[in-house]
Amino acid sequence: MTATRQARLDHADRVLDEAIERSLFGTDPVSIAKSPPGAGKTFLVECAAAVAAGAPGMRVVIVTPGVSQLYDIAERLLAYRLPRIELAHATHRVLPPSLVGRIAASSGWSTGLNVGPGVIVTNVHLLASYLHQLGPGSFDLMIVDEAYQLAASDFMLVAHLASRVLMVGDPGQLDPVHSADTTNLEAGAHKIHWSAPAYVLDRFPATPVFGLPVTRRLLPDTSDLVQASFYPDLPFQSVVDPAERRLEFRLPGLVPGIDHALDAVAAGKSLVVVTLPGAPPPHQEADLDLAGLMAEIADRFLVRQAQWMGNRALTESDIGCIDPHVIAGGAIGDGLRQRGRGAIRVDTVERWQGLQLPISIVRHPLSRPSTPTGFDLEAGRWCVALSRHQIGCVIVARASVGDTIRDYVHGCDTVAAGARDSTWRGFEAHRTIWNTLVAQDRVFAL
Amino acid sequence: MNAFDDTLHRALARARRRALPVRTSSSLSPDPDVTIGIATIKIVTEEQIQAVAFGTLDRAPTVIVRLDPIGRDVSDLLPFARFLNATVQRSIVADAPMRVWLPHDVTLEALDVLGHRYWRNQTASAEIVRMGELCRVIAHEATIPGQQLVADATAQLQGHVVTGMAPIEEGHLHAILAWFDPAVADPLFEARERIRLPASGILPNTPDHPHDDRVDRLRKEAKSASGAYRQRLEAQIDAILRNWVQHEWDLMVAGRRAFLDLGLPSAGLDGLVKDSTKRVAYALTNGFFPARQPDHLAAQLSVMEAGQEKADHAALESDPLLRAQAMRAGAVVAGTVSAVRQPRPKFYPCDIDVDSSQSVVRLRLDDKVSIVGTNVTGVVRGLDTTPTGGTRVSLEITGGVRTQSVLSVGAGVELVRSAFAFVNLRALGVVREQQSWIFYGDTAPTIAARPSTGQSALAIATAARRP
Repeated sequence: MTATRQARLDHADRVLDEAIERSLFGTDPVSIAKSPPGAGKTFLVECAAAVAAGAPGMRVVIVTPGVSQLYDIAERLLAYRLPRIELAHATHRVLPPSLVGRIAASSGWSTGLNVGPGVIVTNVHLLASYLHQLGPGSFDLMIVDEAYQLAASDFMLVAHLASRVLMVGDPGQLDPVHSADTTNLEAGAHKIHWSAPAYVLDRFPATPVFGLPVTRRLLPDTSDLVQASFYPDLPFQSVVDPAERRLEFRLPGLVPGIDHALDAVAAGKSLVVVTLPGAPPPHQEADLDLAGLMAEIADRFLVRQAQWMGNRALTESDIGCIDPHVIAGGAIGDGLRQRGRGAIRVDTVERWQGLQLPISIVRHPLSRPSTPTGFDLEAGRWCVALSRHQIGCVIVARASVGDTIRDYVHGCDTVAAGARDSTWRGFEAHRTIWNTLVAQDRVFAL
Repeated sequence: MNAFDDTLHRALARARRRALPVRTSSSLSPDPDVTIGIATIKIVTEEQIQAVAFGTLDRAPTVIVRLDPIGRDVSDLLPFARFLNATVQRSIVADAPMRVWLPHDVTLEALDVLGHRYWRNQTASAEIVRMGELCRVIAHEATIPGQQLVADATAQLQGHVVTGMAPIEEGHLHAILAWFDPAVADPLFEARERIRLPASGILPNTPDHPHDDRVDRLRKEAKSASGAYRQRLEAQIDAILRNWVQHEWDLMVAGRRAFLDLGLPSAGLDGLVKDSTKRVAYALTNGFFPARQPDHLAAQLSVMEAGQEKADHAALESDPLLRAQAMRAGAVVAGTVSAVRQPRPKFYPCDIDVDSSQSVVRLRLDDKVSIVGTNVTGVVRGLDTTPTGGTRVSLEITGGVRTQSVLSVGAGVELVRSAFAFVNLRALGVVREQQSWIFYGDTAPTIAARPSTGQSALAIATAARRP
């Protein structure tokens, strides 16, 4: 390990220590830890919970926005010796098999929970449904995991339950999802539709913020581009040793274009683009040729016997396809099954959030007919799509994407005056990333 | 509807020269007994109403023309204020829902501005203030998805049919109506002719119809005129405004008639009607209070989201066409019951498997679902791929266990996720009591420091890890 990398790691450790020290023992009731992709935010949550439930003897509650996240964090905490580890979920839910028999699980809230030092993991809606059994000071510390996915309006329901709150999350990812139009709320003094940390910082800018300064997932070239495009306020660098993330193919390339792109990944370019000529078909729900290409790329990784050097041969579970749209994703799934690669996971960006894997194959969200919509340009969605991979990400698009970006005209009336324009922010990210990839000869045209 | 279907329908509508329904159910409940209409003409630059037509829809409207719409004297609006209040009183006394038809959303904006202008105006009469408050209630309710108070004729037609025009052209109610009129031989030509004159609550101002400029000039002239000459000028203003607000009214009535003539059933909207009626009745009785406090804003957001979910769910439940579209996106799963595990028929426990040919499904483990068209509800307990590339959904039945018609092997079913649609008012009440400083305070408090362990968190966590 180089001295530089070690210094970055040491710095990251100090930030983590300081964030936990201040949020557990300091005089600020709320602290925020901002984390880029793969910085170890779940590890921070684990450490904070382990420290708090230890000698200080705190009653800790870890609150997640959704239930899948609570199962994940509960499983991670089982690796620690804690005085108490409990889980509470809704009455209609069934514990995942991996947790059965390993954790004290409660359907709903019951009076036997949260007694003495220890940790309980639950989701915000469950806690909000049992406020009549809880009250201020029910917990000594509340850790809000994936806090940037939790709307302030939801956090509000449970905010009074603990005297100390540590929010941990990734500010570059998708904002909380609202099914209703929140435009009118943007003008209010209380932006309760924003994420909980964004709301807190809007009202109390002096709230202590700790930015985790490294990514342990993304290779330096991806990290630099993702940081510059999506995290203007959160400087971070990769501490990944490229030598430990090398890919090699047992079989040489045969398919022009596709295999050139794969070889570029093997040569250390962790972000590349493969384009099909022309524009997406205007009257189809899915670009079937593009979906087929994504399936073929996934197949080529395996046909050429890709090896994670010093680690293992890649299998179907090491590759994932990301498509912003369910129907287009279905077409990719069909293509994979036709190639006998049905175990390769295809899902939307929302479903990939929080996960990582060696190889991701991503459909470019602007590779679609007609003018890009706010959904296509959403910065958080593009950020998540480009930050799941540990070794390589192949973006797949029609060649027309370059023109789409060049010709895009942003409406000046997309948001209320003075409001944040996340669509414009997303477009800027798209433009930066595309232009960079073109300039660095990472676009492989078929 | 996706872009492809939309384009296909438009091409078909153009070929058939008539509007085509894109839904088989209505998103709007039948008009209640207390149903009125409002149409307005505003001054574009001032956002002031200069003419308003109002009344019940079975007779000619009452028309108010404002000769001085930007003056401080608003007594000319009193008939409208009294009508609105009387209508509301009828609804309150009858404890029945109310409906307000408007030609388009520009009228709604005009009422909203009118409401903002007068609902707290201390120099206006009590009747005008009440009118302002009622306008605000109407405009606010219109922001809630699934609401049943305001019926925007243009939006209703846009939501239930497509024409052979481009979507942007369908913002023009008069143009849309060309596609409903059997007497119109070429609706595309006719619609584009109609688009030359606005249908957006303003006076036309084209070279051949310079009414806006003309009214402006007449007003200026009338200011310095007197006697019979002034009366003639005012009569001209009156005639122009009366004619165009009547035109707006007629469009609204024709739009409503076109919508009703679609004959779409409005099943499944009872919950939305009940919610909307309750909200409106409360506001009409207790007054309008805009959300400012964080808990009120959170409640408002929850109500909007619940409304959206309920409206989406009701549409899927009652509209096979929408379900077919949702199936392609995996939001509805159609399949056949392939196994029933029910030790005692018609009793719990009961688990079933549903095999679907759909490879794309958006259901997840522990999702609550219902079987469309039945009272059967369940929870998703398993999702597996079938040998043919489809999906097997395993359900634990939690309701309607006696409905053997669908809880039998071979029965065809459609699964749709149940709407969460829950506004946790009880929790929001606790929030209001507790007044957490994060949401109600102006400064962050300082809390007492706790004694530090003096050790690195990393070291402590490492030591706590199981071997």
